[in-house]
Formats: sequence, C-alpha cells, structure tokens
Amino acid sequence: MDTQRWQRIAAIFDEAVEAPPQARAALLEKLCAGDADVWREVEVLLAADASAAKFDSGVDSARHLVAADWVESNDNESMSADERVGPWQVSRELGRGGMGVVWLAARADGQFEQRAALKLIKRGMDSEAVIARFLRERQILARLEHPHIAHLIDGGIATDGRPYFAMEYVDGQPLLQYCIDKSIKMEERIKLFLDICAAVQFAHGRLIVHRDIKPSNILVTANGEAKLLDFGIAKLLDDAQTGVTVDAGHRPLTPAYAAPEQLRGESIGTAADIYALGGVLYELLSGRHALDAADASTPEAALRTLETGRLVAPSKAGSADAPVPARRLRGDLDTIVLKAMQRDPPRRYATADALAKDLQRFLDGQPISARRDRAGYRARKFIGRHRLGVVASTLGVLALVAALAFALRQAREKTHEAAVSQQVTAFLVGLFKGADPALSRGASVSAQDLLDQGTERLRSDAHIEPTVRARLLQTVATTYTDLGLYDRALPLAQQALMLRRHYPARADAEVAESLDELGRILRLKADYAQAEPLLRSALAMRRALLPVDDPAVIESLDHLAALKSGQGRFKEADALLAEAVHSAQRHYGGEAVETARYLDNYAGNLDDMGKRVDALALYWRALDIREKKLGAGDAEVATSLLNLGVHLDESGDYDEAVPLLERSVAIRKKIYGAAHPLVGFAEIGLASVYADVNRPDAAQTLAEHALAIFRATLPATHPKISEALNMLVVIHVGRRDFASAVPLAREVLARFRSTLGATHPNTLTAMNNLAYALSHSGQWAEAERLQRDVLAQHGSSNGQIDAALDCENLASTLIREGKYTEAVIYERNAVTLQRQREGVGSANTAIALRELGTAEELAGRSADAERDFRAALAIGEKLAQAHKIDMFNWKVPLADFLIGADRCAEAVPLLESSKAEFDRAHGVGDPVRPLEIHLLLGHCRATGPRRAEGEGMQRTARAQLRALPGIEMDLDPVTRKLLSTPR
Amino acid sequence: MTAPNTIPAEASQALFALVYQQLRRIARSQRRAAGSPATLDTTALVHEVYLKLHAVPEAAEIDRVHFLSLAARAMRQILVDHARARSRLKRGGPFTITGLRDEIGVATDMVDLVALDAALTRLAEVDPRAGQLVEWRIFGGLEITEIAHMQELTERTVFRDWRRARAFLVHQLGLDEAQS
Repeated sequence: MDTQRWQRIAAIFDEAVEAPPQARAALLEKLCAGDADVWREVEVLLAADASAAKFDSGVDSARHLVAADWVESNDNESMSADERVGPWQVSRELGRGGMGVVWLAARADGQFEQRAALKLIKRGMDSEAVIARFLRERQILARLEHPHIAHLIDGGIATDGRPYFAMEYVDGQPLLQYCIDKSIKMEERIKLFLDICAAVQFAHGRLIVHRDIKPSNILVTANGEAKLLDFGIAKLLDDAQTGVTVDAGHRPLTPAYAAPEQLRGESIGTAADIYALGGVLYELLSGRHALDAADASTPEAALRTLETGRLVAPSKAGSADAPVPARRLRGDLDTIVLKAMQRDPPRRYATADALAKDLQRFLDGQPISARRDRAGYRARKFIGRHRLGVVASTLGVLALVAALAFALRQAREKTHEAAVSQQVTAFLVGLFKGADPALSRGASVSAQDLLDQGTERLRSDAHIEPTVRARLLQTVATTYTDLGLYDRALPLAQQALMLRRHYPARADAEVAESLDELGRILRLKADYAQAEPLLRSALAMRRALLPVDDPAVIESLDHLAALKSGQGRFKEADALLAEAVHSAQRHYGGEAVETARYLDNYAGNLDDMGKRVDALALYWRALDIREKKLGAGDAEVATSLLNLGVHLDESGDYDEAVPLLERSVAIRKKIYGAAHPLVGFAEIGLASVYADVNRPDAAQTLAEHALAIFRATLPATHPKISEALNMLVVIHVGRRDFASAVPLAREVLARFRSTLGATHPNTLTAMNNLAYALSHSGQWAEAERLQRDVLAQHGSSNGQIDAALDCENLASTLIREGKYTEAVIYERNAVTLQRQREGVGSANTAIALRELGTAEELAGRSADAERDFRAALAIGEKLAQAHKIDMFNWKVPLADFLIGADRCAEAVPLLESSKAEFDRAHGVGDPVRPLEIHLLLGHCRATGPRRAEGEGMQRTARAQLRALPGIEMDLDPVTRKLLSTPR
Repeated sequence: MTAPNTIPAEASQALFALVYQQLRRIARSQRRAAGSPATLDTTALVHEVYLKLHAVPEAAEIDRVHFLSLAARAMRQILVDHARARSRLKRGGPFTITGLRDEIGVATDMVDLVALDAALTRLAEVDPRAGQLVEWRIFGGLEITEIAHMQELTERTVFRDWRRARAFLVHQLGLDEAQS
C-alpha cells in the first residue's frame, strides 16, 4: 500500500469511525466515490476498530508479561550462537548452573587464537554493586594462576550490562563422572582430590575463597588433570549483594555442599571451602552425598538436617555400589572426612593443606595409632606451649615507649583532663632523660633500666595523681611481666590494684583490669591458688560491665583458661577458650591477628586434651593469619612457629618441625637478643626435635643455653627451668646415659612436686621419667615405687593419661626385678584397658598383648605366651592391610619365644621377613631391632649347617648391642640370654 | 514533530546503548523492590530511565522528545527480541526450555509482539507519524496528551491517528477475524 492511497483510506476511516454505526454505510458510499477497493479496506478497518479493546488488553498483557519475563529470565538463553560478548564469539552451550549458562567461546577480535568458557552472569545477580566489585577484583582473580585452577582469562561488562567471565576452557569431565567412567580406584581418587586441595590452599593463601566447591565445579581432563572452576566468583557476587534483599535462591551456593554458616547466611571464610572439600571427598569415596539428597533441596532444608542430626560416616553411607569398600573407609578416612565437615568452623581442618596432609599420611600408611614406640614408654618431654597475651611481648626501649604512650592516650581518653596528660607526659619525658647517652655514661640503656628508673620516679614523685599513678604502675608492671621479671612486676601490680580500689571515684573497669593483671602475673609465677580468685573476679566484673565480646572479656577468658590449663584442668580451659575464640571471631573477625592469638591458645589446650588433629589445624590457621597480617619476621609468627613445631615434633613429624623451630629461634634472637627468656623457650622446642632426630649434642647445647638464660632471668621456681632440666633428662636418656639422667630427673620431680603438687600431670610425667631412668640404672625398687604411685594417681583420675601405659611401665620394672607373676597381672590389666580404650583390633592392644606374652614367657606360661604373641601378630597383620606398619615389632618377640622353645625352624621365616622389612626401611627407626634380629638369626644358623656364618652374625650383633648401656633391659628374654651367655 | 536525527548518528547510537542498559538495570531493581511481580510496569520504567539518564552527561543535552523516542525504541527492541527468543524456545530450537513463565503460554489474549513489531514496521512505512505514535504509546507507555505535546498536534488529531493505526494493526494481526 502506498502512502497516498493510505492517506485517502485514513481520511475516510477517520470520518466514518466517528459517525454512528447506522450512518456509516451512507457516509462511506459518499466518501469513497465509487472506489470499491478503498471502500472495502475502510470497512475492514472499521470492523477491526470494533476489536480494539481486545487489542488493547492483548498488547497490555503481552507487554507486561514479556517485560517481566525478560527481567527475570536468564538472558543467556536468548543468546544465540555467533553472538559476541566483549571480544568473545560464542559458539555452543557447555552447561548451565546457578549463576548462568556457560558457553564455549573464542576470541572474536582476531588478536590471537584462544578458547574460553564464557559465563554471563544470570539476571538478578548483576546488581551495580556486583559489577563495581567485579571490575575491581577481576585483576586479582586473573592472577590466580595454578595448575589445578581454571584461571580467569578475561572479564567485563557485556553490552547489555551484565558481567561476564571468560575462564580457561577445560576439556574434561566433571569429577564424579570421570571417576565412574574410568573406574578410578581409591588411591587415585584421593590423589585427584589432593590436587584440588593444593589449588584451594593456593587460593586461600591469596585470600580468595571459592565458596561453591562441588564435584561439578571440578573437571578432570583426559590425561587425569583435575581443575577447579569458578574460583572467587561466588564470593565476588555474594559479597556485593549483602545489603540488598536477595532471596536465598540467588545466593550462589549449592545447598548440598554448603557449610552450615553459609546456609545461615553468615559471613564465611576459608572454613566454608574446607567443609565443601569434605563434602566432595565424602561423595568421591562413598558414592553418596553427605546429606540425603531429599534433604538438601533448599538451604533451609539442608540446614535443618545439619543442625538436627549428625552426618553419617562415609563408611556407613550404605551405598551398595560404593566406589571404595566400607572397610577401607572405616577409621582414618571416616575421621578425615568428618573432621573437614565439622559443624563448627574452628573444629574443621584449618587449612586445605592440613586436610591434604592427613590424607597424604593415610596414603603413606602413617596412622598415628600405629606409631607407638616398641618399648611402650620413653622419657616424656613437657614443652610448654607459648602463649601470647594481648600485650605483645616485643621488648626493648621502643616497645616500652609504645606501651607508655598507649597509657598516655588511654589516660587522656578516660579523663579528658589536660592535667592528667601533662603528668603522664612529664613522667615519660623524665624517664627518657635517663636514656640520654650523656647521662647514662654512654652505655646503652636497656628497657629494664628504664623501667627501674621509672618505678623509682613513680614512688618518689608526689605530684602524680592516684588515678594516673595507678595507670602508670599498671603499665610498668605489664612491661616487667613481659620481660619475665615477675617479682618486680608483682608489687607494682598490687599497688595499682590498691590505688584503684580506693579511688574516690572508683572505676570498676580499672579494678577489673588490675585484678586480671595481678592474676596473670601470679599465674605466670605458677601461683595458681592465689591467681584463680583474682582472675575469676576480673572475669565476673568484666562480664557484668561490658558486652559479651568485648576485648577485655575475651582477655579475661583467655587468662583464666591459661590458669586452668596450668592446673591440668583442660576441659574447663577448653570451654573458656572456645568462648574466647568465638567472641574474638565476632569482635575482630575470623582473619584477625587477635583471633589468631586465641586460636593458638585454644590449639595448645586441645593438644593437652589429646585432640591433636584439631590442634594442628588451628596452629596452621593461626600461623597463616599471622604471616599474612604481620609479615614473616614478626614476634607473633615466631610464637606460632614454635607452637606448631612443638606439635609436629610430638607427632613424630620431625622433618617438618625442624625448619619451623629453627626459624622461630632465629626470629626471636633477632628481636630480643640472645639472652631473652623467649629465646630460651624456642631453644627448648628446637632442642627437643634435635634430640628426636638423633642430634643429642646440638640438643644439649641448646637446652643448656636455655637453662642458663632461665636461671639468670626467671624466678628460681619458674616452670621453664623445670622444662629445660627435663629436656636434658630426655637427651641423656636418648643417649642411654642413665647415670647423668637420674639426678636431673630427681630435680625436675622435686620442682614439680613443690610448685604443681603431687597430682599434677607434669608431676606424674616427671615420676615416670625418673622411674624409667632408675629402672635402667638397676635401681628397681625405687622405680617400682614411683610407678605404683603414678598408677594409683591415674587410676583415680579422669583417665586423661593412660593407666594402661602405667601398667605396662610397672610390669616392665617388675620383670627386671624377676617378679614375673605380678608382671603378668599388670600386663593383663593393660590389655583389658587398651581393649576398652582403643578397641580389640587396635595397635595399642596388640602392643599390650605382646608385652603380656613376654611376661608370660618369663613366668613359664609358654602356652599362654605363644597364644598372646600370635594374637598380637594377627592384629598386626590385619592392621597392615589398611596401614603401612612395621611387622617386625610383632614377629621378632614371637621368634624370640620360639627360639627359647627350641623351635628355630618356625622362628627363622619370621626373622628373615623382619630383616627384609627392615632393610627396605633403609635403617630408619629402631636401632635395637635389627641387632636383635641378627643375634637371633645368627643363633639359629649356628645350630645348623651355616654355623660359621651364624657365629659371625652373633659376634657382630653382640658387640654392637653391648655398646648400648642398659640395653639388656630392653631386649626380649631369649635375646637377653643370648647376649649375656655367649657360647 | 521533532526529528530524531538532529544529533549525529554516532552519538545517537551511544545514547541508545545507554538507554538500553539503563532500562535493563532499572527493570531489575524495580522487580527486586516489588519482590517478584508477575508483570512489569514498562511505562514507569521508561520514565524512570529518563530521570536517571538526565544526569548522564551524554544525555543531558538531548531533549525529552528525542530521549523518549530512544527509550521507546529500546523498549520495543528489548521486548520484541525477548518475545522472539521465547518463541524460538517454544519451537524447541537448540535450547531447552527452563523457567519459561507459564503465563506466557497460558494467556490466550496475548498479542504476539513479534507479529506486532512487523505490523508496526509496515504501518510506519505508510504513516510514519502514526508509527511513531504507536511506538511511543505501546512501548514507551506515553499518554495521548504527552504525545500531542511532543508532536505539536492537537490531542484530537493524535487520538484519531491512534484509533486508525490501531485498526490497521488489529487487522494485520488478524485479531478482527475471530470477531466476525
């Protein structure tokens, strides 16, 4: 239709449509002037006009619905192949998820050939806040380059305003699918998972959290490389949305893998990723998700499930087609998975690395339960974990200035009085006149000198008001305490408290502060009886005065916990520390340095309670935070290194522990100088691990240096002196120099008895150590008495320390005394207790059975002995199916017994396989067993055709064994006989 | 009527992109504010975009008429594109249908926006003024009074244009057939 014709029709229509319907026919006839076509078309329009209402409503509804749908829909769906997004040309859909559709794309700007997985963020997730944040952070994400992370190539805003991400395109299968298709076995599954842990650890180290780790976000390429997708994107989108009302459905999380805190919508950190990793591992191993699928459909449902019930262990997930048989999951793997998925973040592995390490240990067959020493006992060390209070112990003149300047500022803030700040300023200025080299005869002035002068001035200067005097006394006392000069600190802290209690306008917060500080000093002096009421009052007052998560309340909790821990009341300490950590996380944030301090202290107590895995995770977390926030050479980092190193040493991870402890000593020497007690503390830790890696000379030098520092700087009763002395005991015992060990061990015991009392765990350990040294020096009667005492104490205590071990220790002394019948009774008790505590199939039960066999052998109960040796061996063999454990520890005692019964033919295969096993271990481990094996094997050969060879073997073995003092005590009965009566 | 081509084509294009973007953003925030409404008030949307964009330097110099033309054009393009994408979904192209609102399929009286777009294009060929009017009214949500002011015509004339144009569209869309 042309315009002219339309104009004509339009004119006629306009006139006709306004005429009443009955007049229209006549009007049209006139207006159309015989043009039938025009007439017909106008009539059509007139008829159409009658349907106008339908058109109006039809347009309305279409417009509204399409508009709403447009807004709501994921516009990716309207994207077609060949469409461009930024410099990318889309080719085909790869998949879709909560955040949007993923497309395969290629560079469209022809700059270079590159493929990418392009993700346009779904509508509703592209608020302006998200976009702004996205633009800021994509640079950080783009630098996240790791072999197991699909990295961000590019990101930007598409023409329609939505952010897009172009990620490295991974041509692979989702993790679970890959494992099913390729029938991947358990070890390989765990190795794939370890790669993911490495990727997560790497990102966490750069403060990037994934937040949406799940099997479908992990792709495995054809050559078996696992890659984690979408790192940092969920957090990016989620964070920017806080403050905007977003329904949970839009929060980028997958309920089935989200941590409880994530489901609750709380702020989340790396711990949520650890949880999700646990979820992935759960599914990878059991073939089932940790939550029943029906319960994880929405965040609310998942949360309900998590909060009302406990997770079922992967081995009990009950999947008939589980990729890994339940029996292989039971034990270590169950523990690892459930630990990663703990409801409370602090109870999870602190880092992906810690999770990976435990898995690696599992793969290497190094379960802690199978690592006990053959002797059942070795001299134990106590290395006090170092706690760091809220006042940093950075010492020296500068620190003192900082502390006093802080006092000044506080005084100013609290009083708003110019007069007060003038007084404090005057005090400070006066103090530093003393630091003037001209006045101090050119000698450098130490912090202690300054404090001593300051104390003098505080005593003599009458112009200082009581409130200001109290604050200054308090500050100086704290500084003395940090210097380890508790006896100087104590009277000042007492004065401060007195002044504050008698203020005309008494401020309870300040009284509480003084009570707390005084309690802390007394606690450090190990005067627990006096310290406890003070710390309790301080906590009670602060709780009454302040918000629950106030720093002062947290500090009080921590100080009281330290006291409880010192008293050996670890469970009470645990509750206090858990509260402190929780409050610190709320008050300072999960990644704050302050929180790290409480985490570290919490970990120390967990260690004391025997919750070693939990403790390790927290130590790592604390170290992580401190290194990130403070730098590698900081005093608090040294503290973390020390605590972590001591823990690793105690766990037998010596190689890991050595460099950490060496670093700790070096940092502290640099900060405090060589003669500071804090240096000594770290040296004790390092000495301990040196002793364990068989470097007794280096260990002794360190321990003696530390002891000298402590004797010079700490009060004579200080527990650190006992700790250093005991370290020397351990070193001497390690050298089998029992004569040197005994007097030191006596001193340690006497010190603990007087400072900690007769029932303190440290006292009991000191008794055990002394008994061990005595027993090896032939002083059996005294050893027996001590061991009976310890057993009586442990038997009546809450069983924190193993009464079973006490029975074994006592029995070994009884055996030396020839009291075989009684030894059998105690060894039987030990077996019963181990069965109850550790289970009938545990390594500890096997050890106890073996020791029982030895006692029975000596008591002449051959049938019982053989039965128990064989029972121990059977447990060992069963354990060896799942873990790599040393079988010779079970085989040699049985062989020893068989040889005693003239059954060399049965003994030889046991000995030969033990020898082979030992040869494979390249001489690492027990130095006595191979000599024993040689002696026994030589004996059997000497009675047969290979007589000359056998006698040669015996000669060498005897010579080497005799070089070890007191060795006969540690040998199996027949071996001992062979050593002492050469034929 | 003010010609939209009083500003250079390039600037007009940039502005169009701007309007387009704003429409999307405002649409989303509108939806969020209201929770999850079944419909979206496109009229309010266009006005809000106008207010928002007025502050943008590139847009400041553009007069209201020109601006509203752009907004209506953008809205038309968005809705028609979306409807087209949806109909492609319904035909089962390379896409799976997810989250397609039921109402779209169920509402029987709904005008097919893709067909409307084609009909409107034909209308504008023979009657540009009416074409513009329809775009403003349907996609820009403008009232007759407003359009009269913008086109410098009497309301009566605008209404006549509207009634005629609508009859044309009704016929083009075949909406009259069911009636007869």
